[in-house]
Amino acid sequence: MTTAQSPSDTAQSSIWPWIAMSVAGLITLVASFVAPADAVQEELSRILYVHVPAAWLAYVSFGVTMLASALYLWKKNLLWDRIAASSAEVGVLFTGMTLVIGMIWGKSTWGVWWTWDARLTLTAIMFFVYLGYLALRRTTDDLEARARRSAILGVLAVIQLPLVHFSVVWWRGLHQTPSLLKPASVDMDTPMVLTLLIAVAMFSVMYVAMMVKLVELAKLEEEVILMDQSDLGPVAGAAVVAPSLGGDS
Amino acid sequence: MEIAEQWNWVGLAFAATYVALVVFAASIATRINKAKQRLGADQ
Repeated sequence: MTTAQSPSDTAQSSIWPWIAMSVAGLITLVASFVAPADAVQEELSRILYVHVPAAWLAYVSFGVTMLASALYLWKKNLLWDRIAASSAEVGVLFTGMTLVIGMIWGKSTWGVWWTWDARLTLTAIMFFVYLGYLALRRTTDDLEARARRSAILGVLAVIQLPLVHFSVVWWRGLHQTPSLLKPASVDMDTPMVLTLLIAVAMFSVMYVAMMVKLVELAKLEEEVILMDQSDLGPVAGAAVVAPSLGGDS
Repeated sequence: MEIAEQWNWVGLAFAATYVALVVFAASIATRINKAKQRLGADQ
């Protein structure tokens, strides 16, 4: 069995995802600083343009992980496992960013870095659950077992998304209720909504760019695992063969 | 809060964001290169 590609095959890595990420990051930065300041929070409101997109893309990432995990369990194709794992990794990044940016915003507006508010606590739990998902994938080099176990967790863990999103509606806390993703009318002025939508679109571009690279990486890492397994060879020499345990073959 | 102090907090939030993105992207690139070297070295 051999799945390792030749060096020429593996050298096809493209740089366009990095270029797309850089441009998207620049556009987000410019849009965030051109947008008008808020009447109440003044300049601090600009943190919104990185905090909210990071949170939304974390939702998207974990949603994609759930879908790809379900598709893996159905089709047993390792491509879906690579997509699920890659999306979970980006989701952990975005959730971590959401927490850190939120803490900075919290300190500057509430006066504390952290409070055991339902939204903050559930987001932190979600962050650690998906860190656990990534840790689970490192417990075995058996690609099928790894994919099956993480797919089950990837499907089950998505229950946290509605809990995190609606926590600000279901429980009273410091964190404000949704400004855009809610049934009622939008509470923001048009220039701020447009800036937020631009930032979300740019974070989406970054998500796609990172996914392209991470799926490529996942394929390469699978090939390294398979290559290591094929390099092990027989423990006691080629002359020693495993006994037949079937008895009737 | 003074406007200058607000900008400090905004700058900190954006710095945290962009540092995280750059470090993550660099880690992906490094891991891709390492995997390619492993595969290339064992051909």
